Amino acid sequence: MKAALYTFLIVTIFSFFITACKKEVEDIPFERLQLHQIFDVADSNADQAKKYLYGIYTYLPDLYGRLSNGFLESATDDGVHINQNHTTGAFRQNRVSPQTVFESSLWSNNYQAIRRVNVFLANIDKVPVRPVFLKAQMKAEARFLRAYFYFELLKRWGGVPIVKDTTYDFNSKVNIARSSIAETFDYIITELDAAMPDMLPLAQTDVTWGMASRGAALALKSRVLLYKASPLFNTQNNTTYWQTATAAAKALIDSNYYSLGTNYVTLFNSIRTTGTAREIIFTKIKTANTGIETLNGPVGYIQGSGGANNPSQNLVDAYLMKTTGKRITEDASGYDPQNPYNNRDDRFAASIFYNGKMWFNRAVETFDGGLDNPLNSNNKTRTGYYLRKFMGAFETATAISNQTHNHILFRFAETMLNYAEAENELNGPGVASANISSPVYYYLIQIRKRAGVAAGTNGLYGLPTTATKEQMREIIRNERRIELAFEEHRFWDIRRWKIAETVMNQPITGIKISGSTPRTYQVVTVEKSTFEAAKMYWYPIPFSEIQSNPLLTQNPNWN
Amino acid sequence: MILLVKISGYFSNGVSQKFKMNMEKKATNLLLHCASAVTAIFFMAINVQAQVADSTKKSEIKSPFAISTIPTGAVDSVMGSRLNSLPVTNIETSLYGLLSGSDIRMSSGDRFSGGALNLRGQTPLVVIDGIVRSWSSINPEQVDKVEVLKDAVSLSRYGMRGANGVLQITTKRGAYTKPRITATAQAGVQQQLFLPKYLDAYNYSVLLNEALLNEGGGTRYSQADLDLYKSGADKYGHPNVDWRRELNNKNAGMQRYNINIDGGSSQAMYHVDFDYLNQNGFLKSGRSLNSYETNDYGERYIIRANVDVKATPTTTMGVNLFTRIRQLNQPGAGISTINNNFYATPNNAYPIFDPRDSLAGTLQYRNNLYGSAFQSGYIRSFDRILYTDLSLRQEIPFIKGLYVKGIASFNYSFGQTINRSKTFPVYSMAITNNTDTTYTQIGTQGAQANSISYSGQNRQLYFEGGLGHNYQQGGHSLNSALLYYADRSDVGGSGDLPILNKNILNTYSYNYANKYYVDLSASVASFNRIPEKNRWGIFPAIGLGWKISAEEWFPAADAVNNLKIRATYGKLGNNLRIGNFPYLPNYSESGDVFYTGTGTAPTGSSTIVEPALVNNNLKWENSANLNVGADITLFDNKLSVSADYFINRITGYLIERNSGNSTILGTSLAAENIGKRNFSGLDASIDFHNKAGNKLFYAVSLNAGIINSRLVYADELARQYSYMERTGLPVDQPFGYIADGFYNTQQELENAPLIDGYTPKLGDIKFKDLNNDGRIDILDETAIGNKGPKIYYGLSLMLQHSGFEFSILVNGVQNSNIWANTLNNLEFQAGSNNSLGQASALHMNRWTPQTATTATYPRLSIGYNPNNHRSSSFWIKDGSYLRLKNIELAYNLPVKLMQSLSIQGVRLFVNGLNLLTFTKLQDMDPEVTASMFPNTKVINCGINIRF
Repeated sequence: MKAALYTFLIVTIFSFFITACKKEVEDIPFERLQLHQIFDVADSNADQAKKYLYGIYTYLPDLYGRLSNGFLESATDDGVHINQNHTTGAFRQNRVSPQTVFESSLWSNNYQAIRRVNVFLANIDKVPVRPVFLKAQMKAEARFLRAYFYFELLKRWGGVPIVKDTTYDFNSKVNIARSSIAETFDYIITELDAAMPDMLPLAQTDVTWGMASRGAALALKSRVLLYKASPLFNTQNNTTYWQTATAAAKALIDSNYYSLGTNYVTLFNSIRTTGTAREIIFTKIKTANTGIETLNGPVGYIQGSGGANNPSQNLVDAYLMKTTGKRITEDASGYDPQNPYNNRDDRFAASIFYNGKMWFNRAVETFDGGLDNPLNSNNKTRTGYYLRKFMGAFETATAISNQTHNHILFRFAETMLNYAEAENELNGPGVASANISSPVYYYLIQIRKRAGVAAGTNGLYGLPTTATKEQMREIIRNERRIELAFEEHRFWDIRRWKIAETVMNQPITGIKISGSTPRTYQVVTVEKSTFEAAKMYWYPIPFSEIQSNPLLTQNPNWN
Repeated sequence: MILLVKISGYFSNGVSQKFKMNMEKKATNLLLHCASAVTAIFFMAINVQAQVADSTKKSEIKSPFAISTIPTGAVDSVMGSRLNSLPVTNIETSLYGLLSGSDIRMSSGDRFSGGALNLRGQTPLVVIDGIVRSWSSINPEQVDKVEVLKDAVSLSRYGMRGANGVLQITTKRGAYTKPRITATAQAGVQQQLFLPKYLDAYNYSVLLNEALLNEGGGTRYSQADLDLYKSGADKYGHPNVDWRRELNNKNAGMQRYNINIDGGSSQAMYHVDFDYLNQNGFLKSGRSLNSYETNDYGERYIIRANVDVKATPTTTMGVNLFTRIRQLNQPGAGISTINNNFYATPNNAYPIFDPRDSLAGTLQYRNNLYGSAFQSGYIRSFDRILYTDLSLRQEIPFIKGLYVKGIASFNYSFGQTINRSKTFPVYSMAITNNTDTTYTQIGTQGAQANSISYSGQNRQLYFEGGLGHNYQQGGHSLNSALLYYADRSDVGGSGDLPILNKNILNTYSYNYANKYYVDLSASVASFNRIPEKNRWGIFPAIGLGWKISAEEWFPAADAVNNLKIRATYGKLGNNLRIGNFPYLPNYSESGDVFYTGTGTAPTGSSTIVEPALVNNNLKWENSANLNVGADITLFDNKLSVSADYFINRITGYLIERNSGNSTILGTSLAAENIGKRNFSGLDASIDFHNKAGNKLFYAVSLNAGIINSRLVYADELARQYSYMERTGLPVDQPFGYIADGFYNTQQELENAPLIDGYTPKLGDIKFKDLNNDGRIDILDETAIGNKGPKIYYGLSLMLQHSGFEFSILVNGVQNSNIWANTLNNLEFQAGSNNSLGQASALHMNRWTPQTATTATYPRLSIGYNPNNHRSSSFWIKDGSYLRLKNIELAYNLPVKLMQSLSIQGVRLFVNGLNLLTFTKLQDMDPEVTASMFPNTKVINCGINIRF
């Protein structure tokens, strides 16, 4: 018995030992935020819900060098990347497949962003947001963003699966077919229309600058409808599409808030001032930095010498002559092949580093053997040019300093060009006049005037006194190319105009500058370009997506 | 036997019923229940009134830390004394080739980071004195033995953590003897192995010119430049600096001193060890260079005291104390940065000093290596480890063989780093108009940093308590134990909730007449970081053994001394890959900052990121381990052979599902317990020892392991071609293109298939278009490299002859893949500021139009070449090697010489590490392939005195 007692005692003491341990920490971590704490029924400030919404904004594209330091334009006839094996060049040379999709992460990124919008919309009603109108505005922002992300998908892949308001859970098996292009357009437009009435104000204030506004929604709608009316999508050339496109651009113009800024050069890196505020409609705000200077600066500068994106001769030739407003190939344009960079419109020097352009207090040297085109390196411009656009005004500076490099997603000049293009397609150029009664002329003149083009004796800034719709179409397309260069338009414009099969099957050219006095300028082929019209207007859907989602069909000829 | 069946029947019925009813009930209920089962045994034991023989000698104290081995298990061990001959700083790096079934691989030559141990294809847990602890760099003098536990019964103590095997280190305890003092002093020389053969400035320039031409640029160096590089006449304009020679010594010293004292009486035993290590780095140092120490040296102090006390005739108490203090020094620029820069800085980059004796540099190469090594301040880190264990064992009077025991352990580690680094300027020299020399300053003379940071703040609390019973009657012997432990650790000072592993372990080890063996064990384990409904799991195991040679019918021939067959099977778990409460979603504010407002400093708002969709059914990974083995001893115990075959079937391996995992989901999915993989293989060891004549004693031992793995299920989606399938192949089988020579002719180039993202040039690696679609893309990737089982082996030999001792250890690996396209083996890799890295002798035999037929390396390129440098079969090399790991020659002075000095023995020794390597690789170490720290070789000598 004694033994049993002894054992019993020990076991008891022992088990007491285990159970009596005081709880020092919680069983599961309480610091983790759960969904019900993000969308909190008591959070009338909506602090957490706002952070969730802000997270959706971060999915808006970072324009400047988002493709491994490359601009999207380096995959067009406007430029090349310094590294010839860069993803942009690979795309241009048809070296992509469903296994190695160009911008492949954007398929998943945009669906991620869309999911977050859906989570937000499904839960925000739990939050007692005060003031009340703010909740409607937040919802509208989210729906605007969702429309934006679907448009990103549409541009690349055509009709895509529309998940509507679905948020999948862990056990969901995603099996969803693609909607048609028309359905995808309709969904985007419907969402924008639903979002707009709530979207207040027309423009954001200094404090909320960077958040979506009605202006942004109108600008997106204008762009979406312009695309929808364009030949790639509007295969039957349905004029009602051009009508809606004109109306959408006009709606923004008629809001009478936005206007062109005064200075094209400082537009891209000035902080919001009265001059630019009215032109920039929607922008992704960044802290001041030297990113773009470092990334794209000519290779010979200590202040920044990435030299990553090199504009092409094709683009350089598109800039107008300043005094005549004419293309260099036109008669009496004033172009001097011995001084090719003289007398070009202001946008040229604001966008491109050419031989002789001042930068950090010395002339850029892109002639053979120059500081920015050294013989002994392969890390140098491939075209004879570097990208100047978006940089700070360091022409005469000695040291680099942080600059504002907000990523401009919509600016008013685009809307003006949208309007001119749609109006020309709908009604033709009209009478040559600088008056608003000839809107095609009027808006082109506004843009050329800001670019420093001389008015000319007839006050038409180099525009022809008579022009057919087709002639004017070419002028508008060229104006769009140079005005919006490197702002992620050219890549999509040559597609929607269905001219990619022409322009992208021509070689990308550059300039070879040799000799000292006089210098000789020789146009050289930098890279051959291939565009297969049968398939390359659309991206292939990543193969893994086709595999995991049996209803998904691949784009034509990508199998 | 009947007794056993009854007991186990009682136990298992009771437990399983109870367990089914109360899966979620607290551990205590279970424990009490188990305890009552054990109590039942005691009463049975009393009923039969066993006369239990006292198994321990009266004089020796059985340490309460002692862990008994499982007779049916697969365990290999090596005595600590064997490790003394290897001059290494980490105990793990002394185990090469000594333990069957294990493979060790150093991934870096950094002497203070250890190697990675692999046991039967997995990374085992490391256990020191019965507690799972990280293996700090302890010295071999305090190691009694190192064991690898490979079978389910031996591992069941580790339950939910045991699936990958265990490396068990047992430290030395005292002995029943008068105090013995052993002092050892040793000093050695380290040398770096397989240093890359970087090119001199001339050859580098020639190759760079060629590479630039290949890439479509102009040449960088004129013939005049090349001539100057060749003649070396212009040391400022055309430098040729062998950076490693300028900065490094060829040899670096190391010293180690050890004193240990052991002894004991019938009341107490002790083993106390003190160790000091000083290991120098390879950087030059001295007063002439700077006023402070910049060498990357390390100093280590270790004290261990293991004490066992017999407190009462039935109570033993054990205390282990271990402290380690370590101090590491390095230049302010960081020794790994400097090592990287050896590779990133060509010999002609810049001279060390310009003519004004300022540090030279260029826009591309802004970090003068000499400045980085000697003028960048220093960084010193200190870390401390403290292990304290207390153990008590109480024999219960009145019941023979019954005892209770408990262990409490507190482990702590802490590190701090004092950063006193600084920046320095370099000057770029340019000569303009042939006369003016101008200097451009790059960088500034910065103020010395003075900051401190903390790292590695780990805390572990361990408690163990249990009951055990040793029962013997007639031929029956039954050792049973029931114990509970809770192991709690706070890792890394992150503030995360501690990791808590709890385990209730019940073991029975029975044998009849040392002839038939049955081992049963079961762990009931829990882990706190998985969903509550899944936290507890049962891990049972059974082992059977039969000592055939003990049978009466077995021929009593002298030849066979022992023949035993044994088998174990059991279930184990692995919770080490689970992470930090992954089943709880965390909407963290870790997204990109969202900015609003105007001006150069807009307002940033943090944003919330949606986590992966969580898996509420998350569990540990299961492993069913089968081990079948045999031991045979022959010829008067001179030859012993042991072999084990194993299959470990892992199920519930955590992977993300692939089917239905579309990114349209909009977020990622957490891992699920769906993967399956098998590991199987064979371990064997042979030992032979003999005497030849009176004086020569010799011993040979050989061990080898073959490990095969198979990816059984990975939810792999249908591949377009069967050669792309991963399932069914070895786990971690490399995939890539198959290289098919070089593009030798223009015609080949024109007919070349399109390569995703690349335009080929002459001399580029040609790949096989496996599906013949005219494109080289992911559809042409197939299994490359060796698919066969991996084989590890070790051979050691020892000779003793009248005071002389000689030992040799060889280890090797077969069927191992090495990727040779690691950055340190490629040419002209781009560093910061558009600088280009080194090229080495490996690149001399590159493709050129003239050498097209004999080239062994593709045409040279600049930076990363996406075609040539990508992982393809061209870079998969046979990493098999055979290494003369260690040799020791020692001489014991004749005893009579020292008797007057009361010295028991003096041993003089010389030994070495990594002395010879046989490999097919060119200029590459087969182990340290990717690291910029080269592997090292050591020659060491010392004296050992015993008082």
